[in-house]
Amino acid sequence: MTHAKSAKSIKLVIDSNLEMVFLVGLAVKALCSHAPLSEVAVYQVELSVIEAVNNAIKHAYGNEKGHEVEIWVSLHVDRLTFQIGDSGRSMNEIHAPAMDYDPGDLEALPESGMGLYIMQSVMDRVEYHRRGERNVLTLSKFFEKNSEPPLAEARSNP
Amino acid sequence: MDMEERVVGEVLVVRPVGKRIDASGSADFKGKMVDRINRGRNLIVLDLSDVDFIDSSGLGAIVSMLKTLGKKGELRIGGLKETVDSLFRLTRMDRVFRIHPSAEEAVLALAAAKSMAKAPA
Repeated sequence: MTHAKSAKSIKLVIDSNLEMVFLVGLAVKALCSHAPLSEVAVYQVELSVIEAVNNAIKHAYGNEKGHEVEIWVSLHVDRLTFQIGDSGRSMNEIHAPAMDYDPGDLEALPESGMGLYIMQSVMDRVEYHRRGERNVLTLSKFFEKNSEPPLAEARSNP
Repeated sequence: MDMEERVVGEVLVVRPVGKRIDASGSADFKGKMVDRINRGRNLIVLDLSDVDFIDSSGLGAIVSMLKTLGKKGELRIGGLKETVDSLFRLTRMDRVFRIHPSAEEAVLALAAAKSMAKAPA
C-alpha cells in the first residue's frame, strides 16, 4: 500500500473474526480524537471503518477465521484516510443501493446491505482497488476548511 | 449480548448493558428478542441509554425485531445518544421507529397509546 510521506500512519491488523472488530473501533475512535472532527463525525467515521472491516470478514473471507485484515490509518494535514486490505474474494462493484425504501412498508425495510451506503454517505471518498493479490478499500474524510490542524500535526510544526 | 429486562405494566423494557450492538453480537441479540416476542411480549421499549455504538448489523437486528412484532405489537426506542441517533438518521430509520428522549418517556407514551386503543369510542 502507498502512503504519503507527510502523513502519520499506523497499521492495525486483526484476524478475520467479527469478535475482534471492536478493537479496530476502539483504536480508530482514539485516533480520530486527534483530528478536528465532532463527536458525531468521529462516531460516523468509526462506523464506516467498522462496516468496511465487517464486509472484508463476511464477504471477502466468507466469515472464515485465520486470515488477516489490515487497516492503515493515516493522519494528514487536511484529512484522515483508512485503507482496509484483505486477500480474499474481490467485490464486483462498490455502488451502494439507495436507502429509498418506504418507511411504512414493514416487509420492505432493509435488515442488511447498508454498510456501503453508510461509508459512501459519511466519507468524502470511497475507492476500491485490486493491488496484486490484495483488495484495498480506501476511505477518506476531509476536515472542514476552517478547522484547526490535527493535534499531531500541530505538535510537529510548532 | 447481556441485557437487563424489566416489566412495567404490560411493557417489557430491555436495556442492553454492553456498550456495543455490532456484527459480533447482533445475531444473539436478535435471537433473544425474537424469543421474547414469541413468548407473548408485544409491547417493547428498547432502552439504548448505555449503548455507545451500533453498526448496520445491530441496526438490522432492531429492524428484524420490528418485523417480528408486525402489526400485533409495538416497539419504541428510548435513550439514544446523539452519536447513535445519527446512524438512524443516516439510514432514514428515524422515520421508521418511534424514538423518545428516554426509556421512561417511551414507556409512558406506549402505555398511553395502549390505553387509548382500549378505550371505548
